[in-house]
Amino acid sequence: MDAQHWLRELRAELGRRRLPPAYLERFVLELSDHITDFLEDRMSTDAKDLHGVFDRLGAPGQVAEVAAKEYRKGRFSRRHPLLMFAVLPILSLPVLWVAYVLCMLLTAKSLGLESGKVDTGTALWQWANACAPFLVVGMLLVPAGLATAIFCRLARRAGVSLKWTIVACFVLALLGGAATSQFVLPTETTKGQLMVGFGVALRPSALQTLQFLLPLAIGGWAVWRQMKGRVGQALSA
Amino acid sequence: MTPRKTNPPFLNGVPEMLILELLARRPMYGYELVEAIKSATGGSLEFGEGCVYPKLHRLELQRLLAASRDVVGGRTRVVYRCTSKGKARLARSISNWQRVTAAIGQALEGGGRGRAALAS
Repeated sequence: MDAQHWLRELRAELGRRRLPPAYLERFVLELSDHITDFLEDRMSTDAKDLHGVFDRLGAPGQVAEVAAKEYRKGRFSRRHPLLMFAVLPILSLPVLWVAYVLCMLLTAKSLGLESGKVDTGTALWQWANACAPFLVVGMLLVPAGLATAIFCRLARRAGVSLKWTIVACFVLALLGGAATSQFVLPTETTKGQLMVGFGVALRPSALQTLQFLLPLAIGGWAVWRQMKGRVGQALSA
Repeated sequence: MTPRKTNPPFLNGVPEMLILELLARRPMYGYELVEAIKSATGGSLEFGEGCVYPKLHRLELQRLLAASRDVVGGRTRVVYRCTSKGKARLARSISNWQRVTAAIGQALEGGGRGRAALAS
């Protein structure tokens, strides 16, 4: 068996274990360097020496098995990508919405805009009323954008396959894109209202289109960055 | 090809400790590290050499090691160095290792405190 054949077998074994291409390339490159170093150390291209290095490295299947085990041991997201990048985004978005609403409520309370204590004639109320539509837009865009950025960063740091970044972005785009919200400030006679729901119109509004496109745009940018990093790595190799 | 015989599973965590210890002394690339392990242990501990790299990659992911592409001996290689987090982990691993080996040594000699030390 020559070095290329051993490395080809290893590559196939790693591929069978579904390790991401970037990880696979780096691993094979380092082992290729290892074989070269071994032969350089002995100043030999002898078949007997080559067999010696393969014996020391281990069988391709055995090495690939250890690599797959270590790869998954590294991070929770690598062991459970489905849970991390398909299920958790669904749970994270409502959590972020609630956090956003709480922030809004606390801000309103600190400004004295509590239900039943409001004077609509004040400049503060007028200003808050003018801001309300922006707060609603913020509620629909900020949590989804933030969640997308967090999951893209997690995927990049864990070094998982790009498909998981894309899955997380699509889940967030669908959930975030279907959300609708309405916010009414309290007046002297009425209470403040915040309504949140889900629904998609046949002809979605510009805001709903933006809600859907924002996670996809952030995801696209993250995937482009990840791919650029990988190409850079391969070139510098 | 016959499967390579390696040390038994009770050495779990030992390769990581050795890797961190050797890389804390100086940065090294993979082949250099494998040779350093052999030399440091007098060839007593045998790891499949191909299995060292996945461990290095995991330690790098856990930020215990940092890797960079450096030119060494006229060739570009992936050089690993121990981070401050890695050094802290190493200190903990060494302390645990010493505690366990001391307790096992004592237990094997028939001492009564071995079991208590192992349990703590």
